Amino acid sequence: MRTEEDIRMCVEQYADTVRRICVVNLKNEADADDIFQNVFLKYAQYEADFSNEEHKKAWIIKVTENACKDFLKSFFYKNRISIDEIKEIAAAASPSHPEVMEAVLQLPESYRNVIYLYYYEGYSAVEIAQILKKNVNTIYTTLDRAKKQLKERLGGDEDDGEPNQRSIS
Amino acid sequence: MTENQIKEAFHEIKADDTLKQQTLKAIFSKQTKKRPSLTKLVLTTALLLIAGVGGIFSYTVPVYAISLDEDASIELYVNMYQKVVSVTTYDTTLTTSVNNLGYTEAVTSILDSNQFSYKNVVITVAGNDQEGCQKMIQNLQHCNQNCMANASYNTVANEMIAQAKECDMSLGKYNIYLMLKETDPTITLEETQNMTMQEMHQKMGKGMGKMMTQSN
Repeated sequence: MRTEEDIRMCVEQYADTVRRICVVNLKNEADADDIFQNVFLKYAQYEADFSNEEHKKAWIIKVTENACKDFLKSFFYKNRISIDEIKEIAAAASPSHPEVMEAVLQLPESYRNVIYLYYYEGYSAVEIAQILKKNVNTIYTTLDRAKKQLKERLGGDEDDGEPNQRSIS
Repeated sequence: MTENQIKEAFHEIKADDTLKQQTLKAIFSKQTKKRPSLTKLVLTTALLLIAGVGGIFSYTVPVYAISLDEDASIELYVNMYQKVVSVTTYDTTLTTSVNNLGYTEAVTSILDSNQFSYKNVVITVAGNDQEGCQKMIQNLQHCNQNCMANASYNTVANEMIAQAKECDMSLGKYNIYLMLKETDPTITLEETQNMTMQEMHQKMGKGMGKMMTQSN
């Protein structure tokens, strides 16, 4: 059982990360809030130790992704959101760059997490493959296709280079 | 499209304090209500079972013996919880039902049934714990409004219980036999088996007198 202090620190540190993955995947505020709570509840109940902070972060990301996937597969979720709704969600999520968020949210489900981890968290394709437990070539392909789709929607140069490498345990 | 624009778009998504606080509240309330895990449940059940079986077992095991002897004899076997767990009578006319009573209550009940007299009964206590035996005697002397204060009391070693059983004698009677044998080495077990406690005491008194005469 994790201590109250440990749980508080984890929520404080990774709340934004979890929230972003939830919004990107679920495109729904209320559902995102539910999954947000579930992820930290899983953390509170997870008794194994993490070898370092990067390991903990990777675990949080993977658990959030899985929780979103499970939710999307569930009977209750109606995976039909109109373009107008996506516009609203994007505007609420990112008032400064709603068109960018809208383009991200319109990407296929499997692309969105990769784009988030690559552009925002700064992970390399290899690291993303490790975190999401996928083949690295699949990640390269996903990144390539996602960048192309973003370019089509937003214009400009889709490739800003490989982010700095960081180790993940 | 620039990388910065994507970063900024993502950066604007934040978990507000309300969501964080609600999450923490939900986690802590679930933690306090958390049901025990299956492993803990199994372990607890096993421990309770062991404790239960151990408790039942320890309840049935006698650790003290109390022998009441006058013309008839009766032995009470007492467990570690000071309860009578079995009774042996050495006279077919004796009737008693004192199982599961506390030993003071059991002894009082037997003496109140007029099968023994408060004044002449010899009470012998045996057990591994001599301090415990002495405490039992004190408790007996002071129970029932000190009615048992004038009875005769002895404490003997635990091993004597088995020796007395082998001779088919009560603990108290066997103890007197051993005392009698010290004053009169010619006395046999068979002779004493048919004697009452009073007769044995009288014989012991004579023996003591004889010993004193011889020593003079």
